[in-house]
Amino acid sequence: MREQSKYIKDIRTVSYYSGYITLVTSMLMLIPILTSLLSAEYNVVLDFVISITIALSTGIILIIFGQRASKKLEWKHGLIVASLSWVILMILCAIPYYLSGNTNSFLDAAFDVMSGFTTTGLVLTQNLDHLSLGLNMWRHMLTFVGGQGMVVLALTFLVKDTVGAYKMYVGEGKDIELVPNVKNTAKIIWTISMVYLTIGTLILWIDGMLIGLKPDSSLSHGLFIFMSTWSTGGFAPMSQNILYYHSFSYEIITLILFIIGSLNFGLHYAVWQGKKKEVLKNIEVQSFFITVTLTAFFIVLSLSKLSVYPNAVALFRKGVYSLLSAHTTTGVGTLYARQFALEWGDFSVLMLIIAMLIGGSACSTAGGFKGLRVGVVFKGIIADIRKMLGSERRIKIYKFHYIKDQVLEDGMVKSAAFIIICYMILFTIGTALGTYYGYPALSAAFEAASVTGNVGLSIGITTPTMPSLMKIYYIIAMYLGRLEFISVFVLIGFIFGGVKRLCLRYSRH
Amino acid sequence: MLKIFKTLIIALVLIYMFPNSSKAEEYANYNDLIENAKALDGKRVDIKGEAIGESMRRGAYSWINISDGSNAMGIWLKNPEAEKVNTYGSYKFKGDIVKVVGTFNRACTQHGGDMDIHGENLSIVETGHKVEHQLSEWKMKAATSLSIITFILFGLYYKRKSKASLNI
Repeated sequence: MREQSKYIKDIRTVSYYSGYITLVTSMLMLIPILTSLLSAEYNVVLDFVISITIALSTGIILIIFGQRASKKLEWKHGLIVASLSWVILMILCAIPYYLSGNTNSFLDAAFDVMSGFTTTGLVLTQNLDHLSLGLNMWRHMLTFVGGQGMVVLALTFLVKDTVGAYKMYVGEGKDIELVPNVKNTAKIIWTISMVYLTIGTLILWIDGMLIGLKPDSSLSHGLFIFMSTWSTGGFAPMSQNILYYHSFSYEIITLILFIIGSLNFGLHYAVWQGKKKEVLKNIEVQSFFITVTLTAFFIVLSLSKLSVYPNAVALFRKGVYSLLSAHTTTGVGTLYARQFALEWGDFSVLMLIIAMLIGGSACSTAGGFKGLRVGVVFKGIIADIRKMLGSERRIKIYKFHYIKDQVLEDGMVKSAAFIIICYMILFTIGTALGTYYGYPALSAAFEAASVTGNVGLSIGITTPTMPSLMKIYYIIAMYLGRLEFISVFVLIGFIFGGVKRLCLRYSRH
Repeated sequence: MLKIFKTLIIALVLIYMFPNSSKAEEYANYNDLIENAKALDGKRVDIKGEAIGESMRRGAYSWINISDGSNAMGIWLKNPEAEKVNTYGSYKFKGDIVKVVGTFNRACTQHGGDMDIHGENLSIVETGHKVEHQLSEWKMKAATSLSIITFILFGLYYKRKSKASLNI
């Protein structure tokens, strides 16, 4: 009985904080409402009014039903709040998509929202070239907010209990504290993003006008493309993605933006504080540089061998650009999806798959199993080999540099390896599912790597006509990949625990 | 006279022998172009689609993008040809349906490997128009009812909150 009431109390605590996160994120719908009003898209205004009222009501009901943690928030609460909020928000934020009539089903709408939140960038929304400005604003805002994290957003405004706040923050796949107070860390993350938003949009706006876009559309395109590239998202306002602009300068700007976006917020903060050497010393930057160089080298080699592109400029704009877009888990592209399968050859596609799985930096907007983990596991293997070769009497401490010098501990290597294994399992299941439905193995692996690593490049599998089970699996893979498993595992455990209790209760009666 | 007659016969025989060399293949579904890009590289094509977004002027030429409904393709045209398009497709407009005759490039040498078409001439098949988005009645009713419910819920929440703070 006591255990039962503890469980109810847990549910109420989770409900209270999830309600707050829902409430804050729902308020974001005011921006597309304003955008639609200004551009006289009144039907779209109605879609968003319906959506925001449903979302706010859900948030309020969750808060009313819930209860603020009487003591401090426990780890399980923090992790469950983060993972559950993402599911609730996926459903609520899909309503405007569905009402717009641009998706074939609510599942497609939910898919696109999860793709946005997780900064994946795969699209099932139809008729992108005729999408309203309001809905386009919403799509790109979702990916921008998702990149920083909805919990981070809520923490910036609401929660006073900073001890508990850290536990929710970790639940969203982030673990770095830029300053001792997690609320201020969240504020710094947003400040960094907003400064880049202003500068990046301005540069894209000017370049957009130089390449022939009208001033007003250049501004909206600039804002949308910034939000997409900085957050390593992959969405674009037009169906051709970056190919629509036919511009080398536009591609270079987006390239710089998504590389910066894929770097750790801790690194940004260190550089902002004048610690410029951190860029060279940081294990993640080193790991990223090595894996990018290797994969880019092999892709260029393979594409040259197959004579896919006529000159070096084309090789860079298509080959290297796509590779960097894949490695930073951005997913913006200058190619048609089918070109990978038809022209690139198996070896180049394999290199892209590896790059997509590795991904960007931890505590950034990027996905994948992250450069930090690759670096830690690699250093761990080197350390083990050295230990075996060296004298048994000698105890040597191995270190690596990640914001500060850190001792390489076995626990660290194990947990990094555990997450990498989880990613590989998710990727393998995705590949197997694709082949089960009749797609070629390499294409299925490409798409599975893209969803697992939250990339967004497609080889042509992700379409509204693909099997529903694959859509559902891809949603789960994007979600698990972004939140990095643990918080979702805790949520699943919590739900199963509840179901088990219910079953026991009824069996006793 | 005999000379003219002979020339005409030779010309007709040549046209009959090489019918495809002078006639551009027509494409309304761009997937056919993408899927057969290697075979069609450098060939003259005849492509039909809706002009979308806007034209982007680059010196004496312009880029326009045309869509078949699921894919869009970039067309590189001389400015006077591009200026024939009056309406571009967007949320509020259905763009002009255009027909372009030009050369298809799988990976254009001039444009950094883009898959594009270098158009020679453009003609308007169907003029574009404004799209009316009628306000949906059920959406207006739903928005009003849901707004009232939300206000009531907020009221309940603040009432509960102020009661709780009084108890403290």
